[in-house]
Amino acid sequence: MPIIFDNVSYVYGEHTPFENKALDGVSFTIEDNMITGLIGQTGSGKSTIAQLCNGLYKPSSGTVTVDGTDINDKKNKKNKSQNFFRVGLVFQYPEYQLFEETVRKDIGYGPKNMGCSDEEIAKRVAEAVRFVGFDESRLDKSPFDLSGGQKRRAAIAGVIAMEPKYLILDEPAAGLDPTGRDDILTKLKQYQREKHTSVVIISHSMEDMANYCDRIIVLKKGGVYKCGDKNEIFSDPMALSSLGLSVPQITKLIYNANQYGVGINEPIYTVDAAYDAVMRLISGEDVK
Amino acid sequence: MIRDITLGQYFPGNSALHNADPRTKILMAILFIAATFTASGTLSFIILFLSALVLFIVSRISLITVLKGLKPILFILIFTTFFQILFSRSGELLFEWWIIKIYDSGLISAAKMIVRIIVLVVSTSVLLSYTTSPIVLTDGIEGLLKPLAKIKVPVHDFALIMSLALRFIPTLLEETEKIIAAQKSRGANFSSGSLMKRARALISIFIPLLASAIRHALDLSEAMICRGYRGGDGRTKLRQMKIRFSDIVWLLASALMFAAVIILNKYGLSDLFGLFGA
Repeated sequence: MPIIFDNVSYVYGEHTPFENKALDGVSFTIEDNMITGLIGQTGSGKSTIAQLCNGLYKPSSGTVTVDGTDINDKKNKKNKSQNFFRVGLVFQYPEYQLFEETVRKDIGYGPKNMGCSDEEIAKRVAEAVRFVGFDESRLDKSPFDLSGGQKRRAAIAGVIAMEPKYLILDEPAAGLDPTGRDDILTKLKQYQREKHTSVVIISHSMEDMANYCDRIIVLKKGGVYKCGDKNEIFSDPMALSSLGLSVPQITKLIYNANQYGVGINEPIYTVDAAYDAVMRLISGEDVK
Repeated sequence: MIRDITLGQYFPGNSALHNADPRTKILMAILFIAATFTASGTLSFIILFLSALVLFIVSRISLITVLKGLKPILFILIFTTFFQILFSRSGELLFEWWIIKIYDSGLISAAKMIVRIIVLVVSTSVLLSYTTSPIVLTDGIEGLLKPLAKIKVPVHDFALIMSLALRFIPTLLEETEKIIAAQKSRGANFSSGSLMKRARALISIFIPLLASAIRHALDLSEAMICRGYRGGDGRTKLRQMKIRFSDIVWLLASALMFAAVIILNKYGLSDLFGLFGA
């Protein structure tokens, strides 16, 4: 069952001079068994949504429903702690939260808090390490001795090891070099395809969204602007740029080319697709 | 929850106190602290209270802000008042019921205690935090300690350390909140379980926080070197401190208040009435 936001508002510092409305009556659904991209400008409420999903924040009004139950329902308190394990949340720069003596212990921290047995923890750690592509020979090192990319992987593995039904990642690739970026996002996609869970990636980058997400939710200043698959989202590049967001560069290129009458009618959002379309166009003309 | 801490809370404004020299305000705060601890006569307390009231009115800080600042000490206030009233056993008996006996001396000493604590908190927070930004305050401390530089005390470095510490309080608070949220998301439990378990859960906050403090310190020191920082020698200031006429008035008024408190300690309320009667 999906995560459903129903008319959710969230106000930071309610009843203080610093009151700031982060979300204003948003409704959307995070579907099962796919990668959902959450995109929006800084301050559009992306990170707030992440923390509403697992119950760290309580909506000022409206309900967040996970697996059919309102997670902030006072009647089932047990639900609250269970929800942290059901909705795994990877914060921005998660490597700053590593603290155990060894990477192995740190990745096992979540499962241990869930009350897993030692064998179960070992099994989960091994699996999580495989999913994120962490170098296994470094499992018994201190997390503070790792490189940035490896730290990031270890931190993400720490959440994956809890085997959450929903995995939410806030800017999982921020601050990594292009190779590390692609690698982590590819690994996450493989993870989703293998486990058939629901993965949410929060990002600024339309390129990442186009390459890795199945469904995209575009936010604008506290509300949902648009919600749908890639074709729906990227069909109107001008509207997106007016929000301060851009479509992938290749989509923009094709869009502009079409203005000059090139005539590629299908929606394009990856370089590979563009290549195919252009080749088809060329070979089609050749036949003529 | 963490954001309720009002340490170093500054409210920008343009009152006479806002514009006073930080050194003046520090000296005034010292005089007020000294006065609160030397006051013992009823008259002295009245003067003390009125002086603090003057500070509060001149600063134009809202009453709600000041009351909020008093909230953390509310418990101590109630607690001490309660014991002062119940356990004083001298003077005139005013009220008796079962084992509870309330004497007039108990009421008076409770009132003095309340005035003492309130004046202490209100005067120092109005002078040093509500009307003085942390940076200006450290400038003031540096200025006051400057004579010590003659005997090779690194005054400038102390002042820098202090202002950096103040500057990083909000940053580290924000990071603490983030770390707590992240560890909670991994199932850390800070509010239930045995004492040992909770202490262990706290480690998951302290280690990342320590690591981040060290990271900030390294980054900052490199940034400072890159911008040519070379210690206090020959450094000029953006904000020049200047003692003006109004500062002298403030200081004299505070000194007068302190003197009045000491002199009037000998006299009680009845002496005042006697004065008028004569």
